[in-house]
Amino acid sequence: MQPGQLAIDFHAILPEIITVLAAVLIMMIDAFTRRINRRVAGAVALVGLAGAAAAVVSLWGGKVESSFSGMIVTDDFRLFFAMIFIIVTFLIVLISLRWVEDEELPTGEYFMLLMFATTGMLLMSAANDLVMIFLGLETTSIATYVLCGYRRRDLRSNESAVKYFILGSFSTAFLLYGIAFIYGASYDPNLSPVATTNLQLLKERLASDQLFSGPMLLAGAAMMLVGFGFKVATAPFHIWSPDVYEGAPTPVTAFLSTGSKAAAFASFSRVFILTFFAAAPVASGMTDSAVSALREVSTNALMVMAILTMTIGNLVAIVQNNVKRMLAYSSIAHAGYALVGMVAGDWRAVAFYLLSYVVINIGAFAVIEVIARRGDKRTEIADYSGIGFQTLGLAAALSLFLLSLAGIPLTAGFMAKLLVFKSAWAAGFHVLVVIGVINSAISWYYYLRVIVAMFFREPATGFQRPVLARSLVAGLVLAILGTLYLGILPGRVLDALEKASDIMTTAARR
Amino acid sequence: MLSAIILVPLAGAIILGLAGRRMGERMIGLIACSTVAVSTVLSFYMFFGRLLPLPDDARQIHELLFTWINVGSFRADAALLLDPLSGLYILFVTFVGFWIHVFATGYMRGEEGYWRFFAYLNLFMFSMLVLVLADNFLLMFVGWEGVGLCSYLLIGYYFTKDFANDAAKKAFIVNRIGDFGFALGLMLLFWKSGSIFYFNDPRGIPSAFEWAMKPGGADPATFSAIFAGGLTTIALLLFVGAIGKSAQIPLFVWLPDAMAGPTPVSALIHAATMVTAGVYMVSRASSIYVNAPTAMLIVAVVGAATALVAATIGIAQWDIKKVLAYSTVSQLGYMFLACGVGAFTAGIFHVFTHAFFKALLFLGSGSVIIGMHHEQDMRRMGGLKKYMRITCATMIAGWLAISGVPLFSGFFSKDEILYKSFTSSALHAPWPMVLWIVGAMTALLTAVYMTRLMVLTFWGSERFKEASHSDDHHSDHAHGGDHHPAPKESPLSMTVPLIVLALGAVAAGYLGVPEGLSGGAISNHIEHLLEPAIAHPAETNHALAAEDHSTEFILTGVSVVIAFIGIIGGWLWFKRRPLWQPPRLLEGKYYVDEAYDAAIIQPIKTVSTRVLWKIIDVTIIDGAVNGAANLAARVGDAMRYLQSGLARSYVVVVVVGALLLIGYFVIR
Repeated sequence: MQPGQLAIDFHAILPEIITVLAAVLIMMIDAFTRRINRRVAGAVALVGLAGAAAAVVSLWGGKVESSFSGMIVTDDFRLFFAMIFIIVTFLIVLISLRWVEDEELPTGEYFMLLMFATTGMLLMSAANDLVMIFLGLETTSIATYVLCGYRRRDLRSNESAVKYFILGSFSTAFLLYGIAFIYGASYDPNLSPVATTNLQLLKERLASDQLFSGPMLLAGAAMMLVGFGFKVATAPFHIWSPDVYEGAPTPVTAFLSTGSKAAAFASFSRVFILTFFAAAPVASGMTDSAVSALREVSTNALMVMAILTMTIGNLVAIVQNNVKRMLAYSSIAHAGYALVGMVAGDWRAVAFYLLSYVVINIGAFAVIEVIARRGDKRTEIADYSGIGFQTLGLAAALSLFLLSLAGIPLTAGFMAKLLVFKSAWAAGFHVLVVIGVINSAISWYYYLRVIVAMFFREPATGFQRPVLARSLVAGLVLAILGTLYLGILPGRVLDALEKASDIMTTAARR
Repeated sequence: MLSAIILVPLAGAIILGLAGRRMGERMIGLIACSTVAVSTVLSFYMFFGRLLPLPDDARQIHELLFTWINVGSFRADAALLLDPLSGLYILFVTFVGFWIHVFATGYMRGEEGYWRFFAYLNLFMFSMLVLVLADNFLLMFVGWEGVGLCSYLLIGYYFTKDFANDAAKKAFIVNRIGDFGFALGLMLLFWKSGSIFYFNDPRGIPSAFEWAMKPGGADPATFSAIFAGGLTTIALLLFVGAIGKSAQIPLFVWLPDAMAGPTPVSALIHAATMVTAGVYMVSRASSIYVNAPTAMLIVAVVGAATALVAATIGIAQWDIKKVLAYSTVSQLGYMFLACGVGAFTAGIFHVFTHAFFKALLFLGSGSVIIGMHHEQDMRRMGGLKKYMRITCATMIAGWLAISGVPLFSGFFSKDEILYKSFTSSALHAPWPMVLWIVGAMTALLTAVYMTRLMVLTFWGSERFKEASHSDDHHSDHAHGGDHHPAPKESPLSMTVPLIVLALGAVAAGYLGVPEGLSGGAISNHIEHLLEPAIAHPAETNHALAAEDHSTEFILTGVSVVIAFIGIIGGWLWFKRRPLWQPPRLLEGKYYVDEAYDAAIIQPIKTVSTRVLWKIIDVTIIDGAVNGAANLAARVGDAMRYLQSGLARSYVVVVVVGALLLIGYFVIR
């Protein structure tokens, strides 16, 4: 593994190539026909995703290889997250196939943007270089900025897009500035290259304490924390997300709250856990070196952010009367739980958490999308009153997802929380776990509130049984199966994670 | 092979759940019954063909389905275990279950949601078999929750009716209390022993029971052991689960209300199988209980008290199903009494015989209810024996069996329990005598209330002719007119199961004739069979018990006399005064429901409306909500919202956050 070598290896970026090709193909068909059929566009997207999944599987095998001058790395960390992103987009395509047409929105661009966003996300988990991470992040962000404003005649959608864009670019600036600082901090005239953004080299230099300036490194890390914190929506950088999530079209909200959040966590973990933390094992003797200081302060900062994020997310979610907004805050809270795993430095727990969370959350949003109807009109909790027995299947599915988000045993949500809390406990962050569990208990209140409204309130007026598209039902069924599978039979996935190799473990083994 | 026993009913449930809506009733009935029939045949084959040929102390067949969870030191498998205990259970669960399915095809004819009913029923069979065949506590818990869910769904089967919904909710909540204890006990067991598996098995997994049985590990017989967090605590927490599921004091209130479900459900779930899951669990965990003497005493006392209290209530009920419901609670009390005095085999034996005669009695009552056109009040019955000959004849068999008349099945098992509690070595001096007296009194009351039920239903004047039907009509069916044509015998699909179960109620007892009674001429198959699967109390005096046949004969004589006193006394009394007004306290079920309502439910309601709602919700949350609503009002005009500078204020928050973070990182 020589980061200096060019090492062009198209197999290593096959998943990304396939998704880009699918996106371009959708665009071409759209350009050369009068109007692309939603079925065709959806089919191309689904086939592309299936192909990308196959490519990911073909790369699997416990190896750690870098290619393209160390820009791309292939390890199980990347592949696991790639699978999460592919699952996310697959489900999103399924739940929005019919929706795009019902909303009379242009179909081609929608699926094309989704596929480009997915490509960006795939790159974010594959990147082994800060520059590459930035590129992936921007590819994703630009696509999602557009998607937020996709219902362009709707003011809420416009507001959502503009806010997301302004605040998003603002935070990206922090990230970029942080990257520049770290690049500067890694300067060493005796080495080649003299300064670097490659994570592999960076880690080696951090570990041997060959740094130009410690404070510069810390300042850079802080700024990157701001940038990532914004993308995963942790307090206090979560402030944009409720407005954006509420205003964006529901399937896009589902995508934002799962896919782009998971992608940001992937890069976040890659930089902080696999590079910064890995460079400074807790047991190392260098107590006052810049790198152990880095580990200490970022752990503390992450811990405070995790506590704030969980608490703010849950407390504010309680008072929401709009289901989408409630789920936006719930999504913030869940980022907090995932952060608990990051504090513990356990990316496996984080990855399992995200996998569970995306499946459950997309399922929940799928139901909300159907009940909301055209133009997102019915999204207040009052609109859910008494619909339980009028549309039993949907209500039961939504109840399952909400209970799973709350963390009821035998569903994915429980396993995920269990793993995250377990690894934090094992790492000695007992207070954090206690706060997390208390928060988890608080969250039952607002999840149950929706269920209570659905089954025990007088029926709301004007509710008509929604007509379910077959694609949406397929998506829902997959989400339900996933939720139960991960909750009841997580063995296989946990096993894959347990065996997963990454730079950290291979380095430790060598 | 073992997996097929559980999977076939599951397949039936899935087929019926997905496609049942479009099937005809015949087809649904065929699928539901045939899947259970396959399970039954397989169970008999596995038990007689595979398990029994094995040597006595090696009777265990394991089957690993898949590794379920394997995280760190925690391992749980989805694996099945067939041993004498689970073997006996699957035999009667599938056999009785099959005949109840057949009965239900006739009973439920023409009901709305016929497919739904049988889908749930098949799902119940699956869950119950998982519960019994599981080879570890966690998988047992899955089955435990599964049967609870099915019970909830089936009690609330007539979900358009308020009383059915209320009963379902009550069952659900009360069972959650029990399950909470079970789950805690399970966690504590794992915490202490590091395993949730019953036995050592070929996969090399350690066993929780081995830990429980380790020499010198028995808990002292003091009450402080309850809170010591050792075996006694584990045993009692598990017993809390059993109390909930098997309707013992103080959680028995849900079972009588559960009779709101269709009668075959009452027979299958709330008499023969599910409610005995608590007894199964306690017997399965006998290794834990025998080393926790305090827990044993509590189990025995709770069981005896429940038996007596429920029997007294049973005397004073007018609804034919309610009588049987309290009778079930009372008989379950007997089983726990047996477990508590260390006679686990006797408890299981009673489960076995009880499954036959109680299922028979419930199905018989179902037949009566159908024959009476959905009448359940015994005050409006009487003289039915000439209209429903088969039902009457079969129910007589059940009546004699439960009353403990010699040579019927209930006689052997009940006698065994009474004898074992009298001679128990697991308890201290006054207890065996006290428990025996309570048990004997219960036996007397059992004979009385069952005689009352039979006399009021089948003998005496035909009161249904003069009765008016305008007032409280507590039938479990939607229709029921104001005029009653003459009662008529039920169709074959209902009478055949009655006959089969009646034969069982007579004969099932001969598998376990107490040794002292037959002088060893008929060997006690059940006890021999269960011997290896059950742990024995530490200071058991087998030798003494074996020689002491004279005590056994005397005690048997006493119980025979008691049974006949009960039957003859009841007969003479109720024949003359069928409508004798029982004491209000008993008719009102000791006002336990009312007491719970006053002591628990109302205070919770008061707190939640006065404190939680008025103070927290109205003042705090609504205050915040109204604030948020003001904010939301501005969202309507999105442009103004944007221009009002909120996006800018978000930027301020981000910047302040960033500055704090960078400051902390740089300065530290």
